[in-house]
Amino acid sequence: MRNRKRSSTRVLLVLAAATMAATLQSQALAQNPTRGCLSCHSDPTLSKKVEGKRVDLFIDPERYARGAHRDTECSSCHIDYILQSPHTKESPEKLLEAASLNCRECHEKLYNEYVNSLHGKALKTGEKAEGAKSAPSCAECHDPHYGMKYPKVMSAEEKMEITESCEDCHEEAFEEFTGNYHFRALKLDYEKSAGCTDCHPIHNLQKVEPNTDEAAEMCKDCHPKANANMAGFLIHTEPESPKAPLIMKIILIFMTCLTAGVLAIMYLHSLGWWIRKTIEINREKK
Amino acid sequence: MNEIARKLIDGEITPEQLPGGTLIMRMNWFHRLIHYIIYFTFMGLVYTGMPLKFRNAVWAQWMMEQMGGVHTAGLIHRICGGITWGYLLVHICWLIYCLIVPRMGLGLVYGPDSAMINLQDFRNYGGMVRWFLGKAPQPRFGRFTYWEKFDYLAVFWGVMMIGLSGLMLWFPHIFALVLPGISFNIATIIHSDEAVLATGFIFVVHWFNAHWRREKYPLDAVVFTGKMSKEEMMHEKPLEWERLVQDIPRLAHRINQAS
Repeated sequence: MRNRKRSSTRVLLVLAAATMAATLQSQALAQNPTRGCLSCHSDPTLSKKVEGKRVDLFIDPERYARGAHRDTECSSCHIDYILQSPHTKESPEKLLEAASLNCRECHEKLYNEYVNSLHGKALKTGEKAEGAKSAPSCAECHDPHYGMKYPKVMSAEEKMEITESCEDCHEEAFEEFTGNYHFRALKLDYEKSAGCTDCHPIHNLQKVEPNTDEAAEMCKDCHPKANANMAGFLIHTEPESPKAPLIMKIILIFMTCLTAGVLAIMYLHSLGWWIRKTIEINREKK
Repeated sequence: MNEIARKLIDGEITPEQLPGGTLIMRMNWFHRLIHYIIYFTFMGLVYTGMPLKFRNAVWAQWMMEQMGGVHTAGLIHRICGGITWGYLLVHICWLIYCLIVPRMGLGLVYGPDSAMINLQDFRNYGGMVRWFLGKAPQPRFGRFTYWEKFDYLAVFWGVMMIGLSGLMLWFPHIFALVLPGISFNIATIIHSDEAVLATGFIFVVHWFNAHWRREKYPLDAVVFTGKMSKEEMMHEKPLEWERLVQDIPRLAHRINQAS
């Protein structure tokens, strides 16, 4: 009898605790919906599987609290998204489009520039670079959870972050750029050097032909006296690249042969000299 | 006038009777000064330029940090590059002066005192290779050996190649007034590859020939003093020595210069 009493007390206690926890959670959700979402999403291991791939669902609460969107509630972008668990499934394309529309509410000028840019148009038509899920919307470059704002004058680290994010879709252009002086200097922490978006203004991205006055405008931020010829500098062409013009390949082959030839002949000359002299000295000693 | 030089001229002693270790002038203050300038600007250019070429290496990033970043490195690089053009122009002016004054004249480009490459240098190169292989004795050299001539003339080639491409990359907006954009790609290739050649050559071949080979190791002080002892000249530059023995006033003059 005493035993039964004890066990029923235990059940009551557990029930009370569960009820209290649920109440607290729903209260937190009502008062501060973001904290409610974070009660699950602040778990670094939180993820789901989509088509066999692991998708990270973790939101770093500390970075979130520092970001520009810290006062924006989750539900103002994730409309109708929040109260069911597990959340409603949406196609990633639709989500991206919806996210972009959400950005418009506060960032209308940038949004209007973006929809008329190459990326904005491509997102609409479904055009995309090889290997990309879709053309990038706002959130591809600015993770909205952390309100990533890039200032007008960026640090080398920030420029590098953006430049490297272009690689996801534009692998070849990126690879070829890594040999260029601008990238090298940026890699060595020179914040005044140019990353991708300095020559390809990203919100208003348009196709610009090289070797034109229009292209020279891009150089003028740093080289005020640039002209069309200067904008004909092949930033994305390494001499080793298959698409490099013949003259570059000829010069490269000539310089490589000259360097290798002179060094090989003269290194052997030094080595031969040292060996012969050593032999002579040893003979004299005997 | 130096006592030994006076005795030589007066015929009191013959060149063979010169005391051991008598110093003979080889490089005057002007040549030594230019060599110092070349040394410091070249080291400055290599130190600030190489991290950019090998930007992915850990040491490159470390070196850039030590220098205070790409901007400072670029500034040092441009200062050294400017001085490099300066010494080249000064040296060319000196060459023109030597061509005009009768003391050197055409001897500058032709004959035993010239640093120009001639047929004998190719023969001497072949002779050295045969000596390395143990098939012949070491060739006998005059005032300038072929490797010294090569070092000297390579500076002209190097400064023209690296210097011109460097100016193009320094002032692209000026060169772009007449040159197409691809010329800057070409300038980049030349500047970068020629720099590797120059560094690979100076840091190994030149330093070996001048200082590290067993006859000279660890250092040939002629670069600082400009003077060479009689014995060293008889061994290193036998033809030059024989020519001086035939020309007593000249030998006395160079001994006097060295005193």
